[in-house]
Amino acid sequence: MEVGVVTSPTSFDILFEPRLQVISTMRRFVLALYERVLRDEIVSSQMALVTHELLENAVKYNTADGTSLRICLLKRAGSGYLIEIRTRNHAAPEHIRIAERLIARVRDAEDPDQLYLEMIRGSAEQTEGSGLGIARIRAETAMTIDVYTVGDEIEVVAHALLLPGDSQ
Amino acid sequence: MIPIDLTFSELHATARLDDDGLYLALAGTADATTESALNALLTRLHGECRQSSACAARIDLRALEFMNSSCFKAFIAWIVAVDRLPAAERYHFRFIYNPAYHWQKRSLRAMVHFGGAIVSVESE
Repeated sequence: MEVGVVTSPTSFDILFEPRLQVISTMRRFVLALYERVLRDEIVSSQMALVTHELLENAVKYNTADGTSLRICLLKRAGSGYLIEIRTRNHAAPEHIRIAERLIARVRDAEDPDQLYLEMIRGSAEQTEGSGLGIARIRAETAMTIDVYTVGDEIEVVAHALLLPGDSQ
Repeated sequence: MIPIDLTFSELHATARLDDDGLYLALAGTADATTESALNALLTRLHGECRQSSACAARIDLRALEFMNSSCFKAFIAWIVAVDRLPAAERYHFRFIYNPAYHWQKRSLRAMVHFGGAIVSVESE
């Protein structure tokens, strides 16, 4: 992905107690931030969805005291934004392995919409841990998702290069 | 059982049976904190629909600010349960969305694709 020269970065970092009840508050806050910076309601709504889904995973599978969220909105010289949404948390080894496999499957899918529908079909039978959130991000926002692990820490990164008119 | 007027965390649900079948309105946020309550509610409403031989379920999402993928899955499970009924007992889902909440139209697209003939979507 050709990012080009970046100017005017807006970034935001928060470390918080991993409680599910906090996530909706965070989503509303970042939605307001996205709308203010990106000036695009449709993309901002997509980014808020991504933030919420990633945070739920980061909180649900967290095994320590803190979960962190980092958002970077990097304005490209000329036009467009590079958007990065990162969550980081400690997790059990089996959950890290599951996340790595899932994210690789979603990232490498030739047709993210088709994969999402397949996963929806499969999820109807599952009682927990559908992985739908990650597939939903890829299908509904076209963000690319990567995962990095160090020891028992997992970082999930959703990123996209947003060009004018992309949301139309 | 019905009418229903419930609040779970940030999710408010009201439901009633009328001449057109079941009407369910959701408002607020459906997320991980409301997932199990929503699952239980939808299972209960499916039972009510079957008992009353309702021919349709109207799901009004216009005041629903956000729904996460787990709650989305609860609706999928409901649709699957109806789809597995004998043809004569199946009922139709009509989702009513709010265009101002941009995620709704996008997310419901997958629901329609998945539900086929028994699911339709419309804005207010």
